[in-house]
Amino acid sequence: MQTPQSEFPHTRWTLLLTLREGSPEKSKDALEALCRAYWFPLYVVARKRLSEFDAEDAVQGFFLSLLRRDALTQVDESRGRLRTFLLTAFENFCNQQWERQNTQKRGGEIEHIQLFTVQGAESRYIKHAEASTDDVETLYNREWARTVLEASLEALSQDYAERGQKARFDLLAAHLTQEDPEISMAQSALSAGMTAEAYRTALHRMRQQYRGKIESELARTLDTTDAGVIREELHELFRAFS
Amino acid sequence: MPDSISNIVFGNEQQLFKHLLLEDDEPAVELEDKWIGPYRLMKLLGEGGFGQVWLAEQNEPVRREVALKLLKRGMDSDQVLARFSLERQALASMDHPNIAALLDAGSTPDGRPYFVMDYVQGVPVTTWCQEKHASIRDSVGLFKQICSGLQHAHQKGIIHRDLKPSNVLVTEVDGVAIPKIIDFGIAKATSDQFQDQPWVTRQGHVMGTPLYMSPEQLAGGLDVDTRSDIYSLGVLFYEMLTGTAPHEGKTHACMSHEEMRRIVDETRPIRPSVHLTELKRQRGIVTKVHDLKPESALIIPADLDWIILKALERERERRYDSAALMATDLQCFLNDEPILARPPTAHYLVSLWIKRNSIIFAAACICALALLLGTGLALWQAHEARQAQARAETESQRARQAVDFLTTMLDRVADEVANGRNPEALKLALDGSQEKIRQIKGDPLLQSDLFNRLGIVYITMGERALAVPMLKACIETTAALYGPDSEEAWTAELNYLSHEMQHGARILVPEMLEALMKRIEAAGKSGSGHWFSVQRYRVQIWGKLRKPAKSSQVAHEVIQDPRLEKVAPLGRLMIKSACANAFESHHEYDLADKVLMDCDQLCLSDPVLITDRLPWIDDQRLNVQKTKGDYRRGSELARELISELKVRSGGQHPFLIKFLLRQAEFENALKHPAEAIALAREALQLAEDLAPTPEALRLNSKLPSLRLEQMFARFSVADYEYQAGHREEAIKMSREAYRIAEEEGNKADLAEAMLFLAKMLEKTGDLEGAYHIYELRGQRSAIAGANYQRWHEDLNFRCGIRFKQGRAKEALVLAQELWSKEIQSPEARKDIEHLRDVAALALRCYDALKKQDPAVSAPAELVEWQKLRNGK
Repeated sequence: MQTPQSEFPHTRWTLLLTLREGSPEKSKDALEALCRAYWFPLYVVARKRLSEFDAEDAVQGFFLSLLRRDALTQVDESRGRLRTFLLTAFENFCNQQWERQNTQKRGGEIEHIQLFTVQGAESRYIKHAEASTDDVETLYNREWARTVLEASLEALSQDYAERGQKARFDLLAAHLTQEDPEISMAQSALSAGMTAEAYRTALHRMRQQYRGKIESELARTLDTTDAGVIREELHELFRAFS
Repeated sequence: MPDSISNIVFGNEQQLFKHLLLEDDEPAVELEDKWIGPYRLMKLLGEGGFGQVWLAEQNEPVRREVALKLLKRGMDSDQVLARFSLERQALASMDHPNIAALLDAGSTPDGRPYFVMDYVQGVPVTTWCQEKHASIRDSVGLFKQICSGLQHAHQKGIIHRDLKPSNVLVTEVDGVAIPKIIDFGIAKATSDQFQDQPWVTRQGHVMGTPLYMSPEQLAGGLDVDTRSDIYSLGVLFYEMLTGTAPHEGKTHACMSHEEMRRIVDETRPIRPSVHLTELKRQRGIVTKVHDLKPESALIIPADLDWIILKALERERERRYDSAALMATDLQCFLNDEPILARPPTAHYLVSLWIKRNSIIFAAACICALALLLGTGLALWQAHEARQAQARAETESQRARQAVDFLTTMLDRVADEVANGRNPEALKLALDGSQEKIRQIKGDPLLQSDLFNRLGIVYITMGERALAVPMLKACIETTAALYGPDSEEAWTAELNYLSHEMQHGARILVPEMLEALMKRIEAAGKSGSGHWFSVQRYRVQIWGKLRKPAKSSQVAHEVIQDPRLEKVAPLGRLMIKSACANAFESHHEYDLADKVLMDCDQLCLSDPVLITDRLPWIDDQRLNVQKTKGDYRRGSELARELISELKVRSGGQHPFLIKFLLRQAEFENALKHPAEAIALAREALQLAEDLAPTPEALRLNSKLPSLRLEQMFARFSVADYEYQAGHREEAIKMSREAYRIAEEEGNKADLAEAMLFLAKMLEKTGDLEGAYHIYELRGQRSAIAGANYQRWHEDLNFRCGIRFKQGRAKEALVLAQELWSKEIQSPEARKDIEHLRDVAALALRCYDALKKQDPAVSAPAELVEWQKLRNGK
């Protein structure tokens, strides 16, 4: 299951539990996986209140506090959504941090261990969220949804690449998002030397697989195989963009 | 994240989602009434990761109802159908009442593969068993039919590959239940589609758990044969009988092949009968199957256990060769004939056990016990476990029974214990194990070992009355094995005597020791280790019986015996320290101190003794100063020892708590109350600091809980606070000590803490409060003490309180009750002094009553009491 291309190797809740109870080494791995998935969504939340550097510090500090396990005492079997849990924990963390800074003055209290940062986070922020007037929760959900979409697509592209079908992926991917693909699809099929029917089937299959990737990622965060719950989550992610 | 990917996603999320959600299952309404080939879809029966199942109507060539399985879009229908056609002939040739025939296959115009089969109107077999509260015999009968269907398929060369409850449906025809296996051929036709996909995402859709897959299927091997189906049958049958699949408890919703494989590799399924008993006990999660059935129907016979376990063997060579063979074995079971499946061989089990030993035994058992009982036992158990393992490797028969015994016991206890310490649960399990030990045949060595083990567990739990019979049984079995005058029997006897001396009927011990000594001497073993052990116990028992002169006399003889120097260091240390103790009791303080200094030297010369025993000897040295009454020297010595131990242990040694309390005691005796309180509080603080958090204990239950230390520190603080006139603080501390003892759950300690609290209440004038605690204590700890001297002390105390309150009439009633209980016990009847004390108390009550009411009639026991008081 832990294929190299898998962006999300573990159940996220399992990650949190590993973070809480695992060996230091395992904790660190778990933390990195969490960072990869949630760093940017949380950055967006922080950035709405803080400057570029403070936001980065806050996210960094939050993940470090997870490593110190401060926030993890609240993790329990009742589950709920990990996504929501992290947002709440992060906001608590920011509030506490703010209080601490107000009473203590600023110091070098944030250790700068470079765990993980999203490359070009700020430019991504400017592109994705700066202009938006939506509330932070929506922004956060939206960024999380994007992360899921991107990571799943990336994993899918690697699957194709491994089968030596990189070109086919690139060709089909262009059609993943198209509203009315009939004409352009016929052209693409022609240029790829395929019949329109075969092309459609191939695209079908790709969508199917893409959805599979997304669902298995959601299944892991929700730790359930209940198709209904997963579908609901999918719709919720969809709503983040409407 | 490559930009190309981000660019596809960003700004297009809505489109992406829309397409993805559109790709979602075609809404059933749109398909309804549509035709697929010659089939008209009538009603959606179910939907799953694979696609949909429809009830369809076929018109040509015959008109009938069929089930049509429409696979998800995205499956390569050409490939699926190509693979299917390879088996088509074989599939078509199947004709069996327990198999739903596959009728047809094809693909829809838009490329979705579909299969058509007999429509079976039924429920999954496990659901049926559950709903009908099927008896064991019913289930076996049903299961035999399934075997027969599968056998038929196997003979045609068809492997099912995906047997699970939802693929075995039960229909009722004229009130007779008939199971039908469905979906033959489908798993094979579609299987290669899944090869490169993680389990949860078969073609993008979350599927069920891999619970029913055989180990070789989980390993992803292509080499799957009929025996894989046998394995799945085993899982299915297991679930029919117990309500859950073998590894269900260990799995979670999102299980990969890899994880499942690890579980199957590392653990053997619990025997169905044990599993069911377990489920029954956890009424909260109660077994789904046999819910409302009478208890007797709930017992799964051992033969069924073995039949199922044989089907569930990890190596397929060990499973049944065919479904027919399994059915035959089941028929034998029904006929009460010997079955083919036998308990796995000892050698095989032992190899598994050793593998499992580290996981189940060490983790669940030792930790569980440690959690309950504190580290002492845990270390002892760990040691025992190592020994048990060593034995297991050489003596397989014993190991097998040990495994049975231990796993049964631990299986029962582990869960409860994991959810919070529950001594009652442990006790229950132990009581059950006793019977098991008695039933062990042909291995007295193991039997005696287990008796001994159980005895010690009882003692550690404070269940001393229960321990004595175990230790006696241990002697008997050992004597039967080696002869009554073998060293092994002597060891067992000494072991028993030591516990009888510590906690039991002491008055009988000297005689037994003398007798044992004579037997050892008669065997020409005077001066041996056993002989010296007897001497040590003689020294100790006289001390315990408050005959210090006698004790010291024996001690002098022992310590001057030149043969003592030949005894092994630990033994010598124990003997010498016992002697020192005797001298101390006989006011020979300097001699006691000198012997203890010897012990100190002995400890310092031995790397094991220095860590294990030195603080213990040092504590005894402090005690000598205390008894001697040289508090100044005691306090100095304590200070020295504390600073030494602080350096040696980095301030972490639990004995520091003890030493601090010792020093506090000395300071208190020197009339330095402030120092005493400060020291006792320092000890308390240290005890709390060193004590692991509940969390830490949960993670590593081998940690010493230090609950006792915390309790004793509170006793001390309470004492000194009381003496300083701080009554409320004293009572508060006493109550906290009581709370801690309750948390710990050890009956002996609980009795101790309750006694302390009651005494404190009594001292501070709350007589009713004290009376109440004594009463409670009597109820809660009455069965715990095996020492007759303390059996009824609560009655004694309650009597004392009523007497103090001037309620002489009630006091007398209590005294009479006490008397009648005492003279019922043979041990107490032998101890005249003890009886004399009781008689004196009763007479005081009677005298007081007579003063209040001169007309009161004399109790029947009066003459006897008076005789005793007058020394007759």
